[in-house]
Amino acid sequence: MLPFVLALQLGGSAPSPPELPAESAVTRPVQAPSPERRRPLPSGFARLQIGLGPPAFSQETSLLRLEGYGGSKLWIEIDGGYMTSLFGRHVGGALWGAVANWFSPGSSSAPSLRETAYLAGVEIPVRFGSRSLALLAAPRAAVVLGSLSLGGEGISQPGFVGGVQVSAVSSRYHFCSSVTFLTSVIEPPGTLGRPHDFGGLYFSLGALLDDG
Amino acid sequence: MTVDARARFLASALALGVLGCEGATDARALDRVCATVLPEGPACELEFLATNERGVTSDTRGFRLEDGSLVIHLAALPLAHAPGPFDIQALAVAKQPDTPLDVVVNWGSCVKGCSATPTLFITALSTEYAWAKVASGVRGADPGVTIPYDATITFTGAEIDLVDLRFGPTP
Repeated sequence: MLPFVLALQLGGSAPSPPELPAESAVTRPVQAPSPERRRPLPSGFARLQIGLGPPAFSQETSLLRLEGYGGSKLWIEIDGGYMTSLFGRHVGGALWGAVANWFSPGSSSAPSLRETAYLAGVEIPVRFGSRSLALLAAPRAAVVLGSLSLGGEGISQPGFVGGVQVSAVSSRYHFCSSVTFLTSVIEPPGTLGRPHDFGGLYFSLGALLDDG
Repeated sequence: MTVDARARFLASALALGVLGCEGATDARALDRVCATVLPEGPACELEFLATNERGVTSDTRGFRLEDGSLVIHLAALPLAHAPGPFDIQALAVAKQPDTPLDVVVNWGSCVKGCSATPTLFITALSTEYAWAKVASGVRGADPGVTIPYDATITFTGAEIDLVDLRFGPTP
C-alpha cells in the first residue's frame, strides 16, 4: 500500500512540462475553422416536396393511352428522419409518405381518368456534402393503396413499393430538389385490363428543415 | 441556381404539366352504348360463349368472346339514325395471332329507309391490344325511320377480349 501511495504522491508532484517561449505562439498562427466547418452535419431532417412526372410505364398505361388518356402525375410527399452519429451523420433512417394523383380529363361523353395512390414506408438516407449543398440518396420501400378509375368507382388495390430518390439538399437555404423512381406492380385493375404500376418517375422541388 | 434560372425551370415544369393534360374525347363508347336501355330491352346482349367482364378498369365494361357473340342493337347507336355512312373500330385483343373478328350489320325487319342486305366484315386481330377498323361505310337509316329492335350489329369471335368501340363518320 505504501509504495502505491508514494507513487501517487510522486505523480502528483511531477514537474510540469516546460512552457513554450512566447514568440513560438506568434510564429505558429492557428487558422480558425470557417463557420461552415464548425457547425456539425444535421442529424434530424424533414422535407416536403411537390413533384411532377409521367405515369408509370405499364401495360395498363399503354392501354389507357390507346383509349386517349395521357397527362402527368402529380406527387406530394413528405419524409423525416435521423442521421445517426454511428456513421458520422452520413447514414440514417427515415419515414416517408406520398400521395400521387394522375388525372386525365375526358369530354362531355367520355369519362375522366383518375388514379390516386397513397404510399407510406421507410427509407435509408445516405448523405454526402456540406451544409450548403449535399447529395442525399435514399433507397425506399413502402406499401401502397391505390385505385384506377374511369367511371369514378374504381376499386382500391394494395401493393408493395420499391425505389430510390436522389436529391440535392441545402441545409443552409432549406431547399431540396429530387429525382425519384418508384415501382409498384399490381394486378390488372379490370378483368380484361393489363398489369399496372402505381409508381413512376418524377422530378420534385421542396423545402428542407433540419437541425444543422 | 440563380433566381432567374429557378423561375425558368418552374415555368417549364408548369408548362409541361399543363400541356401534358391531354384528355380522351371519344373514349368508352362501349360503356355508353351498352348502358342505353331501349324500350324493347337492353342495348347489348350476348350469345353463346361470351361473358360480360370488368374491362380496362374495375368500373368499365368489357366482353370476353370465348366462342360467341356480342349483339348491339342499332337503335342505341346515334350514328345509325342518320343516313351518312359510319365506321366502327374495336379496341380488342386475340389470344392467337390473326384471329378473325366477324362483324355483321343486319337491319332486321327494317325494309324501308334501311340497308336491304346484311353486311359482313372480317378483321384479323393481333395479340396485343390495338384499335382495328372492324366495319366501314355502314349506312345509317333514313331520317324519320324508326329502327326496329331486331336491327343489330353482331361481333363474333373466339378467344377475343373486346374492351371498347369507336363509331365515327366514314371519311
